[in-house]
Parts: sequence; structure tokens; C-alpha cells
Amino acid sequence: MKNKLFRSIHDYFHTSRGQLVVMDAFRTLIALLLALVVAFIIIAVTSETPFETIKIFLTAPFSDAYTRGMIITQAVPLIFTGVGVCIMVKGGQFNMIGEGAFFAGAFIGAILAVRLQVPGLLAPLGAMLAAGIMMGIVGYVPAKLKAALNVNEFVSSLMLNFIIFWVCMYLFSNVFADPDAGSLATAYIDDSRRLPFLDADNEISTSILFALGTAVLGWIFLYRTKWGYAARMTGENPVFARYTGINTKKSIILVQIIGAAIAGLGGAAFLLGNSYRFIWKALPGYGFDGFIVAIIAFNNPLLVPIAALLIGYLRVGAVEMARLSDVPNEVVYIIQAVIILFIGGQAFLAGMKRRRLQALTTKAKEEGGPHV
Amino acid sequence: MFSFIFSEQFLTSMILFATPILFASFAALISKKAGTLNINVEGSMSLAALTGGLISYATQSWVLGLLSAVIVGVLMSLIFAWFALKLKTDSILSGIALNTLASGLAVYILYVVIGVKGDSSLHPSAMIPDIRIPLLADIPVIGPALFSQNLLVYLVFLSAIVLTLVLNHTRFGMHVRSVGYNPIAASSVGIPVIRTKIYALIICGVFAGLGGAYLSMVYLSYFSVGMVSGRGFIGIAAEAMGQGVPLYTMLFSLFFGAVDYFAVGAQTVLGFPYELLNTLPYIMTLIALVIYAVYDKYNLAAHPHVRWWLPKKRKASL
Amino acid sequence: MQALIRMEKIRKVYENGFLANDEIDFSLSSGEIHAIAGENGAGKSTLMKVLYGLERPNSGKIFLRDEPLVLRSPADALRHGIGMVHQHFMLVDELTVTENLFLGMELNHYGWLDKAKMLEQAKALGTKYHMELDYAAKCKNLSVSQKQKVEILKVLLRAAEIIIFDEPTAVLTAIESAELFEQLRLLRDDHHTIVIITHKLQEIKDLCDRVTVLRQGKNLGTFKVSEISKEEISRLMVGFDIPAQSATQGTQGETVLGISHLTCLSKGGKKALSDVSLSVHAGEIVCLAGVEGNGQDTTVDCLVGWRSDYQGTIALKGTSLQGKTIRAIRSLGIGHIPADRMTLGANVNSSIFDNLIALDVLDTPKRRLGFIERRKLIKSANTRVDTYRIATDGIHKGLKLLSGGNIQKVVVARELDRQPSLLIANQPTRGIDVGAIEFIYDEMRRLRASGGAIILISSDWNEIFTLANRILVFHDGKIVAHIEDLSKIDERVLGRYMLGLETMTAEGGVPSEK
Repeated sequence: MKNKLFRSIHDYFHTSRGQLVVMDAFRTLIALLLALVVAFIIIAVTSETPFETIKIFLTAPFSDAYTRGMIITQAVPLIFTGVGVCIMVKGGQFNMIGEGAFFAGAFIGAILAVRLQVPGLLAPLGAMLAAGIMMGIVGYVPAKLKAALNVNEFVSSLMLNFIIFWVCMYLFSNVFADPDAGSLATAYIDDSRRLPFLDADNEISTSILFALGTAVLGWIFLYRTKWGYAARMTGENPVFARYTGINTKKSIILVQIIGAAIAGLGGAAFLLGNSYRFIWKALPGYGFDGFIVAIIAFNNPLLVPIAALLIGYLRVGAVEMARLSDVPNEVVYIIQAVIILFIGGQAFLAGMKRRRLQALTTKAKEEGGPHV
Repeated sequence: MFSFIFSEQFLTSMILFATPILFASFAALISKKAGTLNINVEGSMSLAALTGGLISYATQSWVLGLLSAVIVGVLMSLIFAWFALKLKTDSILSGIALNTLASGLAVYILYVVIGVKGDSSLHPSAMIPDIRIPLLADIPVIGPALFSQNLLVYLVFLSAIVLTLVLNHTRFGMHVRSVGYNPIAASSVGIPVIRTKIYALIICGVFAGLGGAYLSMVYLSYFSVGMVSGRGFIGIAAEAMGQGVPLYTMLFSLFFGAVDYFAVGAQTVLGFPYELLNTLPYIMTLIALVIYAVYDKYNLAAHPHVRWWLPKKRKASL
Repeated sequence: MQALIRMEKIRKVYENGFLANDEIDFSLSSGEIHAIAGENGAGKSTLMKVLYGLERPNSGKIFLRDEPLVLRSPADALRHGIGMVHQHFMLVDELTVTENLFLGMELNHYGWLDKAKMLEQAKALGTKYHMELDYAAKCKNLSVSQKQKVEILKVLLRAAEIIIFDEPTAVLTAIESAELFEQLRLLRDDHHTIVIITHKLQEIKDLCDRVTVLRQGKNLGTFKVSEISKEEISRLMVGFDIPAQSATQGTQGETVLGISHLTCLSKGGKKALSDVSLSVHAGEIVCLAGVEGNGQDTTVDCLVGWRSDYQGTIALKGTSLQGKTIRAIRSLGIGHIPADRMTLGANVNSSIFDNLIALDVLDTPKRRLGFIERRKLIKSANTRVDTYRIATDGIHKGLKLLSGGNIQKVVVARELDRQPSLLIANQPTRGIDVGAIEFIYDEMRRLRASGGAIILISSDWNEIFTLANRILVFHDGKIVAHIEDLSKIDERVLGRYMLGLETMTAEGGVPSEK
């Protein structure tokens, strides 16, 4: 049995596709290592006890059940925004709306969960759905501008993020603030109207299940539906897409709406999973992080949870390190940035990849037989 | 409301608010002229602001603070250049990444050096001086606005002139433009494309550095996390609207500065809600982007009503 | 007489395996205007790019006055006095004429441009060579022929002795061409040597001293223009050989496609198509022949729905196509093998599977609620791989791993396997290895035999005679000849049609039908 498994893995790695996958994984690994090296250098420079600090950074997340739980919790928002980015990027759009949509989604979720006149679990579920739909509608704006007028979706979505943020803050401060709370916060959400915990002691919420479900659904959309197919073709070769009859404009709009909706839903899910009130006063950055997660996951929704857990692990490591030593946790953002830069670098180790690709191509031609 | 807008204070404050946007837009302009728009202006300004503030506090010298801010701006540009040009990372991706890097780094360094995470207000920067030009500053209304301003303000207006001259009258400027418009044609006559882009990006870094220094050494007297608050991107939008002409870019930046100040001023003077006013600059940018796109798409340049205020085209004779 | 330039046994193979120059010998004499003639793809541009340093040959040598030359870049070539005026101009549109002229060699004082002096010198240069231009105008405001003049002056400013022109009249009107020819004669008289890449026979006759004919990468010979006729040049260029037996006659069935009075404009405002009418019936292959760019591709663009801004009607089995989306037109049963298979016809970033089933996915029935019928599609794709003998060991692999010929097969498989009512095959075997060519021909014949209608666009006469039942010759956006009986064809007359020298009259078979 075990031999069969090994054999099939072994065979896979001898196929050309398998080899390219290995190359990509290798590149990612090198990028990760480089990023860690940069981080270690920074830690070494600023910490009194560098080796101790690095040890804490790497091992603390696994030290007890609570920190392990933190990894999962940290991964939840990243999975949502990551899947959203995957879909948008596969569709050829670099849209940043995830940031604002997640924030607003959490806000909407917190408010509606309390106010929806429905029993029990339907409240958080309804709130999540509503958040997703509302953010999807908002996401239509940059999408339509891009499709109809070719307005760069990056800048328009960025502007929209700030607009969303301030509108929410206005509503937050002036309409939905809970007067009984000590500091600025929305109304208290009773346990019955929140997403239940899977493991209350370690604060692991059922939101992780929704996140994983979203990842699966995202993959199904991209690879098992005709709209996902149309999106992928539009993103990879829009001329070809048009030539085969795909409506590229509709595709461009669809992926951006979906990306925004998922981020909105994710925001609500995250908030209703782990918090009792909405208290954010600044954009949390999960939208931008979605890009990192998507990159490490090769824009494949199924790999997003793994990437999210990885980043979650790094985040928890950084927080613990900040708590137990003299190094602030922002170092994790530096690591994330370095990872993107290297993985995103087409020319990074591209020579190696290109040579391998050429070798594989010639091999394919030789083995092609009389029909080549 | 009208008296508010046309007051002397408005003009002065408009320029005050517009200056960082101006620097950002010039940074965007030079990098775009060379064909590689540097989206990382926001992050560069942040780090530059931090460096300027801290160094000027430490050395009690605004000169050193300013210098260090500029150096940081240039360094960030060079890093961007390395990733975008050498490793060929998609420039939007590198922009996002470097912005994350910069914000993370800023907080990190702030904490490591000072031990606080919010701002360096306990360690005020040595401020860059204002300069008052004697007679001219006494002209009513525009006098104080134009002639009694900070050194960097004079610098940024000077930059508009210098940029125009360099781009249109120097060999370097011509190389930059040709590399941006048609790198293949440029390299076919022997112009070193990548090297020219790097020089342009260095200048971009200088502007970003100056913009950052302005924030922590003129606008406020310390560095605060998130103080750039999107101005880098607004500068990019202003540049897009200015169509590559430094003068127009300057006008749009001033406009955004006005909107920015209006948001703040209208709060106290007119009582509009603070948060909603904050959306104004972004809404305006969005509207401007749409107008620009509509203009482009329907080729309104050809439309008679629009034509008269466009720069005159020289039709080739013969 | 010593040859000014001698190229010996130049061999150039491109990365995708295409042999552009096959051991070509070429020599150029001083003070002549020399034409390099040949059909598209014959290797003319490649040979001159090698001479100009834009391409490095795989083997072969170049000599300038018997001194060996190694050219690594255009800068090297210019240094030796070899300049080139490209078909696609290397101008920076936003800069003025003067700025473009001096680009890379600007006159300046420590970086500050001396605009006055450059303008002065530019004007002087222009006067010397009789080129009237507004030197202060931006290049984007110039007409095409003016831009070309700038390119010529650019080369002259850099003291080129030998000037190569790549299809210079392709973008000029008749008057502008005549003007250009005057320029060239003046340049020759001024001791420059000129090489023109062209396929326009009349120009060769009017202007040039000698002509070298290339075909399929080989040099067929160099001749004095005064000693060779246009028809002979044409014959060498296209290499017609009427095959002993003409194409199998197809049975003409019902009308599948009807095009009436099709007219549309090109980007520059010229008429790309003028009042074109034709029909295609089931069971036949109709070839839209003629030199590339005379309206054949535009007709296809209108037909498939890529553009809808035309006048006239296009009807498939009676249904008008104008205004319909590309997808709607596709689902009416039109298959399209485009000339540009790599970018348009295939998505090399995707898998073989994704490419093969591109048309079927969009047909997913509504009841599936968007989910693709994966098993059915996989089966379909695998069947196609077998039927069309595509050499691969897995449909989910990336398309870019396949050889060029196999990628073409994927495109063909996708379009043919759906048994379209009308197939458009645009240069179907260009750049394909020999083995796959016969295969594609078989498939097309099979489609025809089962009642399909096929439009073939091709520049390969062997291919045309092998496949076509009827030939419609295009010239300058009009159909100038309609040949129905291929056995009675006269090559010389065919050549004249293609060159626009003759139009078929009513007796010969009227081009407009219905």
C-alpha cells in the first residue's frame, strides 16, 4: 500500500507537469527562506538576545493549545481575502477592494447580527450573507469602471477603500455606537447571535469552517464552472477569450464583484466568530495580506488555506516574540513583503525554470513520435 | 462657505496641504515619464518622514534630517527599481509589497528606536524653517500665501519649473522621455534604457523623500504612523490627470490640497461631519479618474467645445 | 567589380524551429538600387535584419569590401555605414522631428540642448536631400510618408552609405511612392547604395537596377531588372507548379454563406473592402487568394464578428450575422483557424484541455447551473487527441510544452471536430512541419466531403491548387477574378490578377454573385 503511494508520487514527479510544480514550489521555498534570513538579520541587529528571540519566533506558535488556536484564528481572514484575490487575479484584475470590503463586512455583520429579527443561528448567517451581498454591490463600481471606461481598477478600488472606511467610521461614531460601552464600539452581540466556537478555550471559531468552505467553493468556481473558465481565459489571454466567444467585459465585472463579496462575507464571519463588538478604528490590512496569501498559493484557492496558515504561523510567532522579547511584531510585515517581492519576481530563478522548461519541451518533441 | 473658500487663510492652507501631494505627484511624474510608474511613493514617503523626524531630533539639525529623508527616499526607489527592472516583479505587486514593507518597517524602527508605536511626538523634529520674503509677503491675500511659506514649499514650486526645463531642454530629459514613450526606438539609437530609468527613479526617490520630510518636519513636528494617509496615491492620481505636464500636475495637486483642507476646515468652520469630509479627496480623485477616462474613450479632444482650452497642436506643414 | 557587400551562406533558424534563411549567398554592388523580392515568409526581412545587426545568423559570413564584419547590433551596422529604414517606424511620436533625428546624438552644452543648432542642421540636411518637413512638429502629427522621411533622414544623419528599406511603399499612396522613388534616385546619384525589400513587381521594374529573388529561405538568383520580365520574377517568387491533377471536385450544394456588397474602412480611412460579394456552398473549398493584406483578412474579421462596422450583408444559411456577438456567430456553426495561431488561436498559458474544449464549455446546458460537464469534456478532449494524433501524454499539461506543429493541431482539432457548417482556414499550414500538413489537408477534404463549406486563405499556391475548388482573387479590397475551373488556369494571368494589373470581365466569371 505504502509502496504504491510512493510509486505514484515518484511517477508524478517525473511527469513534466509534476516537475514544473516542483520548480515553483522550490522557488517559493527559496523566497521564504530569503525572507526569513532578512528577518533574522533585522532581529539580530535590534535584539539583545538574537538567538533566543529567533527561537521564540519560530517555536512559540506551537508551544501551547492557545497559540496553536491563534494560528487558526489568524488564518481565517487571510483565507477569505486570499480566495477573493485568487479569483480576481486569475481573472486578470488587480483589485484592492478586499481591504475596504472586509472592514465594512465586519461592521455590517456586527450591526445586523444584533438587529436582524430572526432566531438563533440565522442571525449571524443572515448578517454574513447580507454583508457579502452589500459588498458585492459596492465591488461593482470599480468593476464597471474598468469594463466600460478602462479606469485602472487598482487606483479606483484604492480610493473606494478609503471612502468605504470613512463612511463606515461616520456611521460607527454617529449612528451605531453603543452608548453603554466604555470606548467606541457597536452593540454587544450575544453568544446566541454569534457564530459558535469550536473550541472556546482557545478561541477557535466555526468561522474557520466557513473559510475552508469558501476556499473549496472558490476552487469549484474557477475550475468547474463555465464562468470560472471564462474568467481564467480572460485573465490569461483576453484576445483568445474573445475569439472563442467569451464575453470578456462580463467576466471582468464578475470576478471583481465576487472578490468584493467574499471579502465582505469574510469580514462578517471573522467578526462574528471571534468578537463581541466591532471596535476597529483603522483598516486592518487583511485585504492587502490577501495578495501575499494568493501569491504563495499560486493563485489556487485550494492552496490558500495552507498559505494562510503559514502566514498565520508567522504572525503568531511575531506577536509572541513581541510579547516575550524586545522585538516588535511588525517584523512579520517585512517578511511578508520580501516574500511577495521574490515570488512575484518573474526573473527570480527564472533562468533555472526556463532551462528546465526547454529541456522538457525538447523531450516532449523527441518522444512525440511520427506525428510531431 | 464662500468667504471661507476665498479667504487668505484658505489660500495659505491650501498650499500647506497640497505640498506633500505635490511632491508625490512629481515623484510619480518623473517615474512615469521614464515608463516605470513607481507606486511605492506612499511607502517611501512614510519611511522618509520617519527618518527625517528621528534624525533631525537626534542631531537637532534640520539639514541632516532633510538629507537623511532624501537618502531614504532614494534607497526605496532603488529597491523598487531592482525588483521591477531586474527581477521583473510586476510593478503593482512590488508597489503593494514595498508599501507593506515600508509601513511595517516604519512602525518597527519607531519602536526599536524610541520604544513607542504610535508617533514620535515626545521626540519632536527639528523643523524646517519658514522663509519670509520681505516686500512681496506684504501683498494682501496672496502675499502670505505665496511669499511667506516654508522652504520646502518654495522648493516644490521651484521643482515644477526645474522639471519642465529638464524634461524639455536637456539631453537627459529627452532620453527619459524617449525611454518612456518608446523604449525600443530609444535602444535602437543606443540610449541605455535601464540606466536611464534608474536615474529617473532616483529623482523620483528624491521627491518622495522631500515629501516625507515635509510631513514630519513642517506639517507636523513629529512622525505619526499612517500620516501619509493615501497622499502618495492621490499624487499618482494627480499626475494621471496632469497628463505628464508638470504645470497641470501641479494644478491638480493644488486642487486636491484644497479639497483636503476644505475637509478639515469645513469641519470647524461649517460644522460638517469629520468622517464624511475625509472622503472628499478620494471621491474627487475617483470622479477625476472617471472624467479622464471618459475624455480618453470618447476622444473628447476632438470635440469642439473642449478643444479651445487644450494646448495648441502644431500641425505639420507641407 | 568588387562587391560592396557579400553575404555568404547565411543560415538563420528561429527559436520555434522555422528555417528563415537557408545558406543564402547575396552580393550588393556599390551605387545600385537593388531589390530583394519574394512572397511573405520567403526570408527577405530576416536576411536584411542580419545585415543590419538586428539578428545574428546561426552560420555564415558577411563582408564589407572584402573585410569580414561581425555585427552585434544596429549600432555596429551604423558604424560601418549600414542603415535601415524599418517598415514599422522606430520613432518616438511625442518628440519633434528634430528631436527624433538627433536622438542618441543630441547637440548640447553640458547637457543643455542646443535646440537652435539642431534645428538648423536638420533643415540643412533636409534641403540637401530635398526633403521638406516641418522640423518643429511632433512626429505623431506627421503623415505616414512624412514619418518615413524622418526615418530616412535619421539614417542619413548617421552617415549611412548603404540604406536598406523594408517594404517602404506598403504604407504609401501612389503619389507618395513616386516621390519616394525620386528621393531614392537622388540618393543613388549621391553615391549611396540602396536595398529595397519588396514584393511589388512594378516598383522593381520602375526603380531598381538588379533584383534578387528569395523563396522559402533560398536565393533563386540575382538578375538585372532590364533583362527579366515581371512575369518571370513573379513566377520565381511564387513558384507555381500546376499539379498534374487538379483538386478533387467537390459537389456544390446549397449556399452556406452569402456576402453581398461588403464595404468597410480601415483605420486610416481607406477602404479596406469595396463592394465585395461572394458565396460559399456546402461541399466546396473556396480560396480567397491574393497578396496578403488586400482584404481577405478584413472579410474574415467581419464574418466572425470581430468587427461589425461594415455596410452590406453577411448571411449564414440565410441568417444575417451583422451585430451578433462572436459567441452567437460561433454557435451558428462557424469554425475559425486564425492565421495567428499562437496568440489568437490558442492560450499558451493554459492547458491542452482548456484549449481543446474552449468552444464546448460555452455550450454547457442551462440545467447544469454553470457547472461544466467535465467528464464529457474530458472524453471529448481525449478523443480529439487521438483522432488528430496530438503528441502528448496528458491533456492537463500546459499547451506550451507541445511542439509548434502540435499546438496547431490542437487549434485545428478544436475547430474541426465540431463539424462546423463553415470553416475558415487562414494560412492553415504556415509554419507547420511537413508531417502535420498532409494531415490537416486530409481533415479539410474530409470536412468538405461530408458537406462542410470551407473558406481558405493562403499564399501557398501548391496548397491552393491541392485544396481549392474555386479561387477568388483579391486586390486592393475588391475581388478582381473568380476562377472556377482550375484546370484551365494560366499562371501568368493569375499573376496579373494578383498584382491588380487585370480584372476579370463578365465573360471570365463575374465576381459579384447574388
